[in-house]
Amino acid sequence: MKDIIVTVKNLWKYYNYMGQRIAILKGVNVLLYRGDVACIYGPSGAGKTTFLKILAGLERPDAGEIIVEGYNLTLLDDDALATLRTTIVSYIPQDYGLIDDFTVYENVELPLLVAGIPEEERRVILLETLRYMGIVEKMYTKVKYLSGGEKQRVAIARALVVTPSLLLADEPTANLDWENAKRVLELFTRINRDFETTITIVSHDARVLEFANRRFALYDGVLKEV
Amino acid sequence: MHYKILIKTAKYSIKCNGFNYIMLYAFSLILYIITCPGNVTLAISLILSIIMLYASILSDKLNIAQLINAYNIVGLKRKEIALAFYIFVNIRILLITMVYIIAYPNFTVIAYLFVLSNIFIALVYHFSFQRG
Repeated sequence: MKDIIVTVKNLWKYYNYMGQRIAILKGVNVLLYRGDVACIYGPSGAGKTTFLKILAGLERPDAGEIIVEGYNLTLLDDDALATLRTTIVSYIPQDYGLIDDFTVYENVELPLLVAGIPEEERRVILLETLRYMGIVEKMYTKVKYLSGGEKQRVAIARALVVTPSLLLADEPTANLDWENAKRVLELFTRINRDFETTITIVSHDARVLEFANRRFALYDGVLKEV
Repeated sequence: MHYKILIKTAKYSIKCNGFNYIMLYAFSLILYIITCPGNVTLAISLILSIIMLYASILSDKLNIAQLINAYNIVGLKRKEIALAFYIFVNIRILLITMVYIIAYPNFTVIAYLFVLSNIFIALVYHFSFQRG
């Protein structure tokens, strides 16, 4: 029997728009197991990013329960959620969330600094991760000089460096051509195989679905496994 | 919070464009205070310093947003992010303070500058960044 990594029960999220309360997620239920590669497919504005941000502890739901690796996110305060992001959950935003003026090394080093890893150990982990991602030769290059595909790799490296149980990627292929997108998706598959990391990808591109073993559709705030 | 993150933040503040504006302003401020000494000059220079500080933050708004976003994603706590922002801006306040120490070493004026600018940056952080 596989371990359950994510349990989402009856999740609701509302936004206020022009004085009206609009439900962006309507009673979402989902179970993700260790080693799953889940893809959530849906059109823009369906609530995919909101769902991912709630899983990452970056936003709070209005109702419902989310349990990640045994931690009930709805009961945790902001500081505890931040700690969760340095240990269990890693989030890769659509715009990569990197600091352009920092080098690749400095960007990937950040989570390890936050986690308080000593310098020597930090360097070993960093080199290992950058080598795994195939960007070790670019480690002293500033992120602003990298291509979209390379930036995506740096963002994945930064997420992977703390060996999370759950990796969340928001539209990882949106800014890439299909060749580069395929390479990034194959990389996710490799990470999943090598580290047994549960990966959740949200995308509006149906081609991403073929790389996942769990496929979900999110339309108008309702999530269904397909 | 790891001290290295604070050092990185301070270095980043110096590398950003807004710091160049503050440097340029600091040189002209020294000349202004030395050549036209007086209470009116001091009052005007204090107001100008706050405006210049705001202009420098405004010019680096995207960089600051990127920094805060990245720190948030990697799991820095809210208080630590606020501290990083405080350091980012205070590097610039320190530069202006040094100008006053050189050109008009009066404790009251420096205290006014420090208090006013810190109230100001707290307001900027609250209204511009923490609200997203």
